[in-house]
Amino acid sequence: MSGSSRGQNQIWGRWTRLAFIGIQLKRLYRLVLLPFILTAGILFVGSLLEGIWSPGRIRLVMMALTQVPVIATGLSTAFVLNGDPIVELAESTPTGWRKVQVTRLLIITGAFLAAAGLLFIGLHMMRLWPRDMGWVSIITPVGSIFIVSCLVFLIAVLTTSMPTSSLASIAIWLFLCFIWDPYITDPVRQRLIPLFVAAAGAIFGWNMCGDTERNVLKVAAL
Amino acid sequence: MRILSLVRITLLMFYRRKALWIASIPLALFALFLAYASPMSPGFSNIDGLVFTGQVLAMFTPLAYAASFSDLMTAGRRTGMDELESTSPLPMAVIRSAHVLGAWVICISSSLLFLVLIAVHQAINGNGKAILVALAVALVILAPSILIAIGISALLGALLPTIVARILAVLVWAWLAFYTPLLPLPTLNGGPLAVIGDPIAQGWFHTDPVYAPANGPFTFQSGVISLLWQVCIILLLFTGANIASNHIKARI
Repeated sequence: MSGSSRGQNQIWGRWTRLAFIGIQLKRLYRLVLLPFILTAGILFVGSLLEGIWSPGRIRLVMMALTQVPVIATGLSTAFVLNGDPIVELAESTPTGWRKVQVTRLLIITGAFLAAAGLLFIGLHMMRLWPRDMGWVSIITPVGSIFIVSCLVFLIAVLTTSMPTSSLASIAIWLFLCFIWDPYITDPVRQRLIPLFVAAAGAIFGWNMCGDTERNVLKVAAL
Repeated sequence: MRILSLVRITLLMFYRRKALWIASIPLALFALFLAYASPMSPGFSNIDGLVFTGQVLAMFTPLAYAASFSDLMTAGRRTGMDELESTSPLPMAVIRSAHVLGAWVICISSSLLFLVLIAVHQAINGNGKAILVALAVALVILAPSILIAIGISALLGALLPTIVARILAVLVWAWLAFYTPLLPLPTLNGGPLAVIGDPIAQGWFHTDPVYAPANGPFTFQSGVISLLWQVCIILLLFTGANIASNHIKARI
């Protein structure tokens, strides 16, 4: 008797969780399409130029173009995590604000990671990925997107301000693209060290985001 | 008097956005590192270094400023603040200019701080003009670039959905500031219409420009043309943003 009711509860729990993700997805679906549009656009440019230019020259173009998804990740994460006026409402339900935030973060990051994976596979197959060292190079785009979105999550939790989070997302990208990557060239070390920092930042943000009092106060102060 | 108190209040409003200040300091530090590590860098110990640092700051920091001010003209409309503002006896254009001024003060402060610190260091080591040059560089090289970036952001933000506007503004600035002859993109760099201060740096401070000029070295006159051209762009961008934001409906 009790066993079947527990089973029902589990099914019910899973169903509501899916429905919750569905609601967030419905809200963000246009933004979820953005990374795939970017990937398709970059791959299209690649295939268009393939016969016309030398691969070395196209790789240079790709070096610039493959940064666009990273910039877009930071700005999109800053966009979905800030400016929602119903924090108090979410905090007054069993859902809580942190679950809303983290679901949005995971949806956007997941979409950008998947699109970055596709972009790498496409360009790797066409032999157009800049500084390609085999399949291990997939860590470069996937890693930078993960790093940027984790850190922007932390900053969004800290500041609850879209302009500041956007500014910080570009600052993080600037650091990765112009200061970190040119000096740390080993692809694994290049990504693993900032990945740990970003993961620590995300855990810190996760803990802070669980503080109901703080969330409500922060929005009240806006 | 009214305008003075408006300026005071605007500065106070922006002074309170501490997170934005704090975030813009590491941004300026990253740009400083790039200025120091660049193979073209003349170092920090002379006037050339000061001008070059100003130019690098004017190229890199606006990337972030282009991303963050897309709601400069439209934020008031979403919160109903614009209704309050329209009842004030000042024209809307003046109030909007005050908002721009506040944003500009935040954006330029961190860069200005580091420039002045370098200049003070030079002054202690016997370069008397350094502080004046730092202020001049901030005024004629940094300030126009930052205002153009904020203007692009504000205009696109008033015309397009937020996220598209932000990404596009960053890309537009990247196009304006960075150039390599290996890509067949048209560019303003290398001509007197560049917005990163090359004509002014070479024409007025006699330093090497970041991008080699296409038709011989820049003269004093090309610096004047460049500054006037940038002022025109800035006026056009903010006028456009102001008009566009008057036409959008409140989006909550």
